Amino acid sequence: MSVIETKELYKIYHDGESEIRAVDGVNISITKGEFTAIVGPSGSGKTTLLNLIGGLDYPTKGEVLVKDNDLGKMSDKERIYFRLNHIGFVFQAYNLIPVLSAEENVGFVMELQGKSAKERHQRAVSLLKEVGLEGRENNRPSKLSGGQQQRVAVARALASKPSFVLADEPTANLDSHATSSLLSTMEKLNEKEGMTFVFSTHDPRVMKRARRIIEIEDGKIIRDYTKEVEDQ
Amino acid sequence: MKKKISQLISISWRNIWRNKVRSGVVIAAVAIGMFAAIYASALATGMIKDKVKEGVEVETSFIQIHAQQFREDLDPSLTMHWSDQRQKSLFDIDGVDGVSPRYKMTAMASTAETGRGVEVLAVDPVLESNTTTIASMVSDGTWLDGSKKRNRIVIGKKLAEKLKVRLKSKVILSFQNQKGDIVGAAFRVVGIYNTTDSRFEEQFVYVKDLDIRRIASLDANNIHEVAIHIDNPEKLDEISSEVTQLFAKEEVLTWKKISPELGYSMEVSSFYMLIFVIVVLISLGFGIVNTMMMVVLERVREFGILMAIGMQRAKIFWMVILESVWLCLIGGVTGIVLSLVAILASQDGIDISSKAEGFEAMGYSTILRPYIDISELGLIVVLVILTGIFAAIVPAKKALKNNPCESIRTI
Ligand SMILES: Nc1ncnc2c1ncn2[C@@H]1O[C@H](COP(=O)(O)OP(=O)(O)O)[C@@H](O)[C@H]1O
Ligand SMILES: [Mg+2]
Repeated sequence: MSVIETKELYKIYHDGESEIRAVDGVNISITKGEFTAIVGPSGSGKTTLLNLIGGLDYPTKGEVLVKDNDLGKMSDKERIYFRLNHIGFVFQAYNLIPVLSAEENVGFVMELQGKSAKERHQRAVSLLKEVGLEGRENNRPSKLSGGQQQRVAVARALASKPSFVLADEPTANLDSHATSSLLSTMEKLNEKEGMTFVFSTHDPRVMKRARRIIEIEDGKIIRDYTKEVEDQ
Repeated sequence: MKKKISQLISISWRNIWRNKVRSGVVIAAVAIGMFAAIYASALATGMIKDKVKEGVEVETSFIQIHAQQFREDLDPSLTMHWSDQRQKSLFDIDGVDGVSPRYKMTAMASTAETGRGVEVLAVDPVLESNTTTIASMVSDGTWLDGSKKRNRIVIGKKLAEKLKVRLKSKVILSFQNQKGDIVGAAFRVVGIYNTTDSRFEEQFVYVKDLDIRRIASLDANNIHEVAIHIDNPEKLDEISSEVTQLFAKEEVLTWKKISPELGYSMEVSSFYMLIFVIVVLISLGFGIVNTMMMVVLERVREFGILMAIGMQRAKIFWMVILESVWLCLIGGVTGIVLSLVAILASQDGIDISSKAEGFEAMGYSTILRPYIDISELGLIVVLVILTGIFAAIVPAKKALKNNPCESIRTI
């Protein structure tokens, strides 16, 4: 069973006379445990596609199914609730709530889920340890580097035990060292916890770390391939 | 449910301290506004209360009894029956601590040079001084005493000025007796009283009942008015209904009926604070709307992320509302505390006589003693909270108007 499935997905913007096909008939299926990169130049439609998959945006046409649930049939409230329990998000930057500590940021979604303080604390601490931020639990985002902030965001994305994590250019604002370290963190969580990751990038170095690569251009998939194990 | 509210409360509390200067400005504005509104209204209320208190304690006393129609006609023949028994029956009522039977008549007070119409209150000096505080208002000379010396009079300062008389001067009082004849006698001024109500000072003169009985051939069993003092203003209605039972044939009135303008200003005074506070809160409200708008606009992206990771719009809405409520509440409570401190500090009274000469003429004291009804503070806090809520509704709605993806795109 696929975790994510899109069927004839379109997102068309109208700019006066001209129309922009940001997502143009995309069919993809992603199964549990994948480590997939959506790759393409700037303006190719990566963000739009991820937003549609994450239920943050409405397609012009087509369907998005997450574990066979049709996002298009949900009310706004149901979608938010669905995202809370099924989708983890990592954005390009400024992911975190500035007034909350690293631990509280990770615990936030669990609090929204109604988890007890004890459970939140335990899971937040262990996730922060997993992303290599042991000892930084009480730091607010402003006291963390960009790379550390992104790792907190990854920990938060996992906190709700989602079906998959969507990351839109998570390394775009990071230097190469932080980029590599963030990817290692994601890889480790993918392997250890079997978490499904879908991330976008236009950086070839990041692309190389993915197992499956979906290349898009002008909203269309031009290549979709899984690397051989020995390639990694 | 409770847990979720506490999450919102704590996160909104932390959010307001993100921009300490901006929040500080809002808090200070609310605090100053509330302070000004509460303190100013406490001054106004204090002024009215003093006026009412003096009006009641000096002039009317709490309850009066008259023959029916006497107050309307002021006909000296409309007397009520009086006896030691009746007096005792009044004193027997629990809470009555002063009873003063009076003759009351309109008279002409004249000197060699000039004359004025006055109201003569002929009283037993001791009973009167136990019923009203007029005796203690005598600033020049003495109150009437029980001595045998005849025809003494105590007049108001204002009247003394108008008649150009001083202590020991003679004043001729002429009035109609019960038969309709004009009678008159010379009285010597032994005391001049000074109240804050110059209209009263100009109108009322006090003489001894014995003198008036002799001059106007009245008797002790037929008087015009009984003034009653009670020990606790709260028991006014209760006591007055007991008096009414004893004096069923007569007209029994409380001070609120006798001086409706005093009773009215008392009732209105409790609204002053509310009106002041509401006006101030409304004007502050516009400023807060503006501030919350800024708060919200610079956090559009953050709200988008909150929605993306699973926070319902309604929750974000209430988070923003709570931020505004916090600002108002901190400011409001600070303002209330400041005004309470200022009110306590000025309990001895603020003397404004040098700046407000017209006040006394209108019957107001020139010593301001601010007064606050603590029970109204709860309502003020509620209004402050409501201001916070209403000021944030439009900004909070704006925060949630967009799709999360649109919000996240904005930096
Ligand atoms: N809200 C919008 N209105 C109009 N055009 C848009 C909007 N959002 C994205 N686009 C267009 O859609 C295309 C894809 O954009 P985007 O998904 O952001 O690409 P990428 O993330 O790959 O850089 C671009 O041409 C962009 O200009
Ligand atoms: Mg993009």
